[in-house]
Amino acid sequence: MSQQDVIKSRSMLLQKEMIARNYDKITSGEVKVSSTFVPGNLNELLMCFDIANNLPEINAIQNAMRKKSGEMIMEAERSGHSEDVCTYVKADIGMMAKGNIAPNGKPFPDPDVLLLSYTGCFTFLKWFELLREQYKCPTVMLQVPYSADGQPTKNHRDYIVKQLKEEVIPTLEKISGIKFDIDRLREYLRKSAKAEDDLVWMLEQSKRKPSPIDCYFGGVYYMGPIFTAFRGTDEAITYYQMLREEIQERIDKGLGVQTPEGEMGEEKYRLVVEGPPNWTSFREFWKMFHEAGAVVVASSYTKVGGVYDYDNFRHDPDHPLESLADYCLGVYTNRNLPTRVDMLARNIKEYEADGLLINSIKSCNSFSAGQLVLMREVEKLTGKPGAFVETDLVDPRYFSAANVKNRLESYFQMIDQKRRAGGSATTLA
Amino acid sequence: MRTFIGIDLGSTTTKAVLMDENQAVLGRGITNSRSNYDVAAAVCKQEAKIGARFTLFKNALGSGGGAEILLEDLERNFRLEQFLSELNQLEQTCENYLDHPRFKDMKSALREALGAVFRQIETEAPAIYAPEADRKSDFFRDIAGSRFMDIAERIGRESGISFESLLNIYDKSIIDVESLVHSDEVVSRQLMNGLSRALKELEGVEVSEADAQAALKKVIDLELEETYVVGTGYGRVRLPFPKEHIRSEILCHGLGAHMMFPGTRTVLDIGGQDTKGIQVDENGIVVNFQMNDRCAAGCGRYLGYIADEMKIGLHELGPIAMKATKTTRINSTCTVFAGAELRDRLALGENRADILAGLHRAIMLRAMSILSRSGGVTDQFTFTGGVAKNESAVNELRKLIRENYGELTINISDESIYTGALGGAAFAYRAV
Amino acid sequence: MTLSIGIDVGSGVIKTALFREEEGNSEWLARYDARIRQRDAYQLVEESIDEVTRQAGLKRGDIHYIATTGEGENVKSATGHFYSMTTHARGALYLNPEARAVLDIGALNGRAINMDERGKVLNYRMTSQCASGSGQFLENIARYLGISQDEIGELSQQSTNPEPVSSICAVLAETDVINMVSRSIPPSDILRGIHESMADRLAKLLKAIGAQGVVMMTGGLALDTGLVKAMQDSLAKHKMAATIASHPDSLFAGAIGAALWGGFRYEKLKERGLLPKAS
Repeated sequence: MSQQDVIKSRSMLLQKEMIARNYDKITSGEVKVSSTFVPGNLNELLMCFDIANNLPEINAIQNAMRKKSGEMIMEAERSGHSEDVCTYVKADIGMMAKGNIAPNGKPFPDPDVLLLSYTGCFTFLKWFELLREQYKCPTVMLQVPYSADGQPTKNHRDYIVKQLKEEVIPTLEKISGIKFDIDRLREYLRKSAKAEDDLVWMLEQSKRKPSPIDCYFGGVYYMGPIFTAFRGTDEAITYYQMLREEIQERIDKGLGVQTPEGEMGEEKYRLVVEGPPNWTSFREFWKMFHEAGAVVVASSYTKVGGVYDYDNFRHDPDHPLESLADYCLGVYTNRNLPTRVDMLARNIKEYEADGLLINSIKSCNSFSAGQLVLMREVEKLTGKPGAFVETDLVDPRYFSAANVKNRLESYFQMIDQKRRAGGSATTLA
Repeated sequence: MRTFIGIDLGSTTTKAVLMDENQAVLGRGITNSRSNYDVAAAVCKQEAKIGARFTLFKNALGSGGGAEILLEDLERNFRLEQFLSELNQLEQTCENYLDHPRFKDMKSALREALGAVFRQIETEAPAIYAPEADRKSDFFRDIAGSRFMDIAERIGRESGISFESLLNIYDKSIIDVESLVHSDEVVSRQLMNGLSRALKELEGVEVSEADAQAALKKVIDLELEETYVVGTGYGRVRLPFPKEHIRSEILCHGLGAHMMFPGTRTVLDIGGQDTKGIQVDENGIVVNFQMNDRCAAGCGRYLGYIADEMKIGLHELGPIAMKATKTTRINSTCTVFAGAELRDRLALGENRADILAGLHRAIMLRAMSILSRSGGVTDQFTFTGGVAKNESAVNELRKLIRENYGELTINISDESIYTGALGGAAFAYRAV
Repeated sequence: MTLSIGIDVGSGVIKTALFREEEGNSEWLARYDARIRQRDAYQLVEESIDEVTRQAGLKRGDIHYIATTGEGENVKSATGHFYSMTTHARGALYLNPEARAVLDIGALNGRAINMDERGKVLNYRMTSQCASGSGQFLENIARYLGISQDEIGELSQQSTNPEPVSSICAVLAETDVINMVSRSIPPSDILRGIHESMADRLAKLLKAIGAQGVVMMTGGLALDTGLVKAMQDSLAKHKMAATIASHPDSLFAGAIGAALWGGFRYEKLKERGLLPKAS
């Protein structure tokens, strides 16, 4: 594929710098480092102890975007991991086997603590067991109960707060040598909420026609800072303000989506997408949408770290620990299927989408379980057609471009047919 | 006359269907797919036009008076004419290839051997196209190829020329001959010659020679205008059509199945490389679909592998499996592993037919999974694609449908391989 | 003097070799290869035996030992059967005395074999069954691309921008190729892509058995110059202390090995007086 120069906006350049600075900080050897996951992470709490935040999933994604994950996965498979294991895990294990080099070329330090703050994905548990074996470092597990009734309950919240007070905070104090200061946490949460306001504004701009942004392929960039090591920082506030200005500018000019291939032109299809993207062929995947004039106006993946728009959650400096608990509980994949169905169906209606497209990930049970049912239910509620493509997170062997394209084209043509409300009835040939 | 054509460029074969202004199918054409899509499309389009001319000729003759016999004989003799003319081209191409420097020391010996091979095939040709003759394939490559190899091996042995050299020359030349598209003039000549041959050997036909020739001439002179052509299938992106003439094969199979069986609500299409479960509404519009991905078990190629593994032709699998007394349970879901399992079981002395029945069931189980993911099976159910010609596969499918969904109407058309192209032609008709 | 025939029954071709063994000298008298092409393999084996004896001006009764290898366990006329591993090792050594490892690429899998200077098998590894690295696969692809078998090697070496074959399934690898064609990727780049993916897999096998020195390619694919070249490049890429060699008669390695082992076994039985009485 010819890599034409992708026009990078100011906010993209800023994000790139932020990520680079964070890797430099992690690999500097001058700070304590925690490994933790994206969904429901406790970034503000870690900041209270001056602990830098390293996220293995993001490392896997970074390696995939740089086309390095394939070799790493094979490396992990050589050491005995089955082909069915989550490819984030294998990319991480493979990266360690290959010297554990960070994207900035420096080796990752051994983590000082493994902090597990979301247990809705069982793979995370196993992953950290492997890492604990490897690093022999302290591990903190915050158990987050599954929201089986769709909403967090007081019981759940109290249970998490109790764990924060009795286990998580004392352990982090011990590791960092810093005493926990709740006012410091409040300050960070205030900053989180400020950035979150801009983020939700951004998410809702795709209700416009044409939508100025893509909320799946573009969305994963927009969510980057809030879901990773920057929530609660001034940098994140600056980033989201800048992003807001850029989007506003597009709206004022009446522009649609810009993709790596350039301005998209006419917006022909508006989709809601469920499931993570494929990272190894990210650009190729997006290009298929670009060529068809398809925009993703909402996606569940932009809720993977935490959900802000559905029940209007914000981090709350007045109830710091409770709001951390609610954030963990509210993660998209921690909600029961009826709630997810409702979320997607509401998105389709409110964003006037043509239907639901599911990208089913081979090695992610957390997302894939129940997706077909989800699709049928959303179809029933909205009367809009659904479709399925199958890829993987970071294993390049499982992105079959021709198959994906074939299904997408069929889906778009199906939407066309539906719009023409069935065309003419046929006589028998 | 105005015609509407659908072309389905599949991974193994390329099909064309030609319709008239009343959406009546006049002709169908099929050829081996190859990497030159333009040629594949042109060849099967020409074949569909030939089919259309036969249909028109039949309509001109009317019925009775032995017209059916005449028509049948014309078709056979036309095929023979076509075969002989392609054989002649093959011989010419082989001859030219002998000028290659690698053959300089053995040119005359090779020429002699090749000549002998081709004379022998020519001698056999009328028998190949005799009434009642059973041809395993209608593709020139398959018929000429298998005869060439058998005869070349014998002649090579008799004359001390290595069979491999002869085969090599054939391999090179067949590729060029396969890529020739017969012009309308050539086809007209072959049709007229075919008619002369047919009239010579006919008894009990009351149509006069002059009438038949005049009727055929009229049909040949009729221009079949390509009013609108729609392309679909794997190679659709490279077809020489503008983008708005391209449709996805899912939609074409859905509409094609609906054209054949208007009551269809669920379609299963098993092609060479993929399997599709499709749900359509009362107008043949697709409302849901699923395809296999990342794994080819449950596709036509699975059976191709099994046939390769057993060193028999693909068309022989079904009949052998039908002789099974019980269905062996096959555990491998992977195409390649199933081949290995087949070998192991044969080595253990299990019955070949029973194992094959098991393999047919295995591929259908995979297809059932795709069907259920597409939304299940509702009445009426239509089975299309190349595998629908395999009676054992159909047999296993019927059983599975009954076990899982009860008694349903199951439609299978003899022309099911043309379903995608038929849908394409219907889209072409609607586009105007 | 011992006369022995070796027959290597492959899944596509039956290879037959006739040897005369005299005072430690092996003389290759006749050879024959027959493509099976959906015919009865056992009947072809019989025809091949007749053919090589005829070529050598002998009769069947003159032959002391008929050895089968490959898929030929059940050949009625055979005196004995040898495992492919041992026959390919022995045959490779006959074709190239320097050889210390063998890479045999069959129809469904590849095998890497380590041996000593006398052709004794030390250790070996097989690829997991996958048809995307087989001769049949390449044949299908060539046919689809509209090129003949003997052009594959040359075309592959003209590639400027190899296209990797991504699928992990043999059947979908064919689909991959079909899609490459529809993306206008030139045949040379497609073939080189296939050769590279095969070579990488085979190089890993060689690495796994710790192959060193001359590695002899045997079987039909040893004549594919494109694959040989890709193998050489792959070994260089993996920084291995091994070199790839091929031979115009590589196709017959299994048959040669079977004939030589058959002759050897006959001699041994004769020495010990264990030969069955001539009936």
